[in-house]
Amino acid sequence: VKETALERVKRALDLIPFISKNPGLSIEEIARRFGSTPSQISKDLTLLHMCGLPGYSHLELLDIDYENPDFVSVLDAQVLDKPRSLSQPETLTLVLGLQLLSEIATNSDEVEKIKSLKDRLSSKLSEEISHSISISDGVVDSPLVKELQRSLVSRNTIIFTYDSLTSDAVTTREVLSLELDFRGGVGYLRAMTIETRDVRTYRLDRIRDLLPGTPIEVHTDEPTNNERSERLIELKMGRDGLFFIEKHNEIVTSHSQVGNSYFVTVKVNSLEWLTRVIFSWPEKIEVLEPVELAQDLKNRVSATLENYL
Amino acid sequence: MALLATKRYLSKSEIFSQVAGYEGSAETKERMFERDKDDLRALGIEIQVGSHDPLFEDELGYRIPEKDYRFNLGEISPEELSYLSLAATLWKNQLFSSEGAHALVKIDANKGLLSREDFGTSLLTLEEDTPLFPDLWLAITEKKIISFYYRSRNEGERKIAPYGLTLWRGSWYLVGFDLDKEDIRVFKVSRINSEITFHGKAHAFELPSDFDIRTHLLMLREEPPIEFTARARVGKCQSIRTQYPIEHIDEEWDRVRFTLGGDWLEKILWFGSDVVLESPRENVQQLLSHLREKK
Repeated sequence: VKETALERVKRALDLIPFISKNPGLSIEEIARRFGSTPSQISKDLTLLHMCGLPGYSHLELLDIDYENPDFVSVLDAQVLDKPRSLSQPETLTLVLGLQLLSEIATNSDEVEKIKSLKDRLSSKLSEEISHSISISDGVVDSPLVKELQRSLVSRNTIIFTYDSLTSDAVTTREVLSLELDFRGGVGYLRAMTIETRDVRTYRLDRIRDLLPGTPIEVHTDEPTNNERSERLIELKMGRDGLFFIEKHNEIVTSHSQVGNSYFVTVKVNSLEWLTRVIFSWPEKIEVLEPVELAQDLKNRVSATLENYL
Repeated sequence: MALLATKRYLSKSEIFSQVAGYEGSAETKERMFERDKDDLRALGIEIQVGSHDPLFEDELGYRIPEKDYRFNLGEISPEELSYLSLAATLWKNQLFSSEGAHALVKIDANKGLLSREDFGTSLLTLEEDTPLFPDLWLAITEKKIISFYYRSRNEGERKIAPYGLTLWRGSWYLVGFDLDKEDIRVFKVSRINSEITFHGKAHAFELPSDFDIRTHLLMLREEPPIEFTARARVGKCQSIRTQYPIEHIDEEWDRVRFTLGGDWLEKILWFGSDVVLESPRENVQQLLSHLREKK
């Protein structure tokens, strides 16, 4: 998308105070910070070099040194030495971001500090914007978030006991954290199991007794064991299929709608997990392939009903 | 820059004569001046209009007050800078990730890059990616009527006056006045299955003065918890055992009492034949008829 003249002016106004405060950065680094290209930043600097205060003598023009593209500095910023105030959308982004952070913060002192910062920023938001956008419930609180974040940055392994709903067992795992994800009010950790090199997703509310492990060199782009054991399953469901697709989007590889039915193909490495998902789904799901899964589900229904005879 | 540098109001004639770029007829200069004022306002820069001469109040002057133009959040500690940096970078939606990046540049221009911890790309995912977000935001802020195709049990086109957006558990919800249903409705943004089409001009509706987005969100209304009694197979149902007291019955079964919310059926069925529900009776009946349908 071609940028507008206003967008360019906005960036130009922000470049001078940024470089003034952070002298010695390369044009490439500045471009990265501004989400632009080195050639565009060079053009901006050339334009800015010809701008200044009325009079427009060498004493009134902006003085920028960018001859060496690896070391840019501002020698005279005139009146542009300080950054512009935050715009309403920028302030809103920070306010909502701080609200989410306060929800995942782990101790009350930290929560208070984030909330007080949020309040300072909120006072600068217009009433109309405050009414139009909000966070009703960002994430589920988990006391583990900070430790997990630390392990993500440090690339250290972590050791914890895990209450697995799929295998209905409590086990101890050593894993390398890869990503923290919050969906549907539940926090998930995607991590590689050190022993088996499987990449698995763990629910934060089922992780207990978290301990730091050791730093480890693992190439996470190598194919993992679970990728090698993934299976495709074909399912048929009614109108509620829409909600199944939405809830289990990460395993759905394709889907189509024919009349009131949804045909959904999913890819999983744990058949036991999928069996429990299908069995506990509030509407009937028909397994088209593989037939052994369809039979297993029928057996589970019969076994459960027998308990009530 | 001239309006920011001046301590007094600059009259229009002073601006025309001193600021580079104002050329041509008086009418042309006037048009350029109006355009420049609009552009500055679009950038969020406030222009103060007033008079510096008490004897000639008719002659208006212009300036940009430094206190309004400049970044001012008061004293910010390195810890607070780190929070701001995280708050700016945790977004997946295009609008907030771009606005967050702009905000971060201003923060770094105020205190310097070295004053905060650099988190780079956030490793936290707190919201699903929502490509339609910028269009919806535009419709809300400019009060434009929109239409879109919506996937639901009653799927089809919806035409609405968009009132607001809210994030609930990682998903964005649009709240607006449905022009066909003549009532306020809530739409999950990820279920919008088309581009957003804009209808008519900006400021096509007024936001009701008592509008509070939270009052329209059904998901925020808490359902009362239900108390259950069930038999749990010995050695199974670990997640229930870790939370509730267990009463031993025999070699095969234990008894457990626990509470669940509206998703009780899903949670109990998860354990298959390892749980036998005993009460409440109506829930047992509901579970059995559900299982018979699955046969």
